[in-house]
Amino acid sequence: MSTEAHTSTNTISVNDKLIELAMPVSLTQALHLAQQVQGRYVVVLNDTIVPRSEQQHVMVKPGDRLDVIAPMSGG
Amino acid sequence: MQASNWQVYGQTLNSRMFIGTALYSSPQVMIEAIKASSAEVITVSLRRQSAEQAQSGQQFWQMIESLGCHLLPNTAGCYSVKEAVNTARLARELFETDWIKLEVMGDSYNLQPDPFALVEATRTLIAEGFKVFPYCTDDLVLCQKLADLGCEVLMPWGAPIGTGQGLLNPYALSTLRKRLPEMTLLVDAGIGKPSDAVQAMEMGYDGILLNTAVAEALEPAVMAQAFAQAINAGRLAYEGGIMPKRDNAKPSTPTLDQPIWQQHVS
Repeated sequence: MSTEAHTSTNTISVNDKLIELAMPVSLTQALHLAQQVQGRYVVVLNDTIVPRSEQQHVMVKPGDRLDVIAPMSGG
Repeated sequence: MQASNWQVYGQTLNSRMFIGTALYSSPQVMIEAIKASSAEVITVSLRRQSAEQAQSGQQFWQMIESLGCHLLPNTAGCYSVKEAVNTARLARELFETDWIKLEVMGDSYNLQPDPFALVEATRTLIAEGFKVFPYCTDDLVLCQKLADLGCEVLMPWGAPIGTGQGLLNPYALSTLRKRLPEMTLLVDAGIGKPSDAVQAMEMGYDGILLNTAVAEALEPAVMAQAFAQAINAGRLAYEGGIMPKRDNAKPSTPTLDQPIWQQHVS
């Protein structure tokens, strides 16, 4: 996580990629704008898991860090 | 003939093979191999996804879902209690299961589990309601501690992950079986060929978890079937009761009433 993400007024990071957003914006909208809403995934907002049912009610703030976690193969 | 069914954390299973979803040359090869294995439990993992990867991640998920198998997410790549516990929490949210194949590595060279961190992570996760499948070494004391914490399943290694070396320490694995007779035991990792799986199953192991031996076979679907038959045969042999070894020969043809002129006097 870069410091820049925390200091830019309308910037959040999504999987370490910085994106500019017009605020206010919900978590669900932010994920759409970041093209991160395909299929099954789980979202971590600043190290806290956000259940899917709550994502539309959570507003993101400048400097927030989102991690989008998806299924992958494993042994 | 099919060996008896069994229970894993209250779930009745017919197949005694768990199979991984990694390392296949293509998604189609993976699907064919899993179907050929008849496995009812498949291991999966999770990672951060980029926007570019989102589509392939979704395709993987759709394929996995289509199989209708129980999912056993792992915590592969974790080297600390914190990493493993957090990964398990993510896996529960992502895959909607409280089953977790708990891996906490202690050494990056041979991917040996860290027994101390494993016990700590297991304690935390069981307290949070997880059904923990710990990937562990074949150390008896470690396994007893994991059992004491409430694990209903233990998964000791046969050999380091991906080596295909088979059961490096049959004595330790056999001791585990004898000392933990009620525990569900699977050999996880190190299995290279079907006869390795037979060896474990003949000892009384309840199942086998493998990935590389199938995924890296020339014909994964064929190898998956070979493993399925081997695992079943090994279990049937265990249920049938294997004869004890003897030092001295014993004739298999009865000698009673043998014509006198054929009897040898020693």
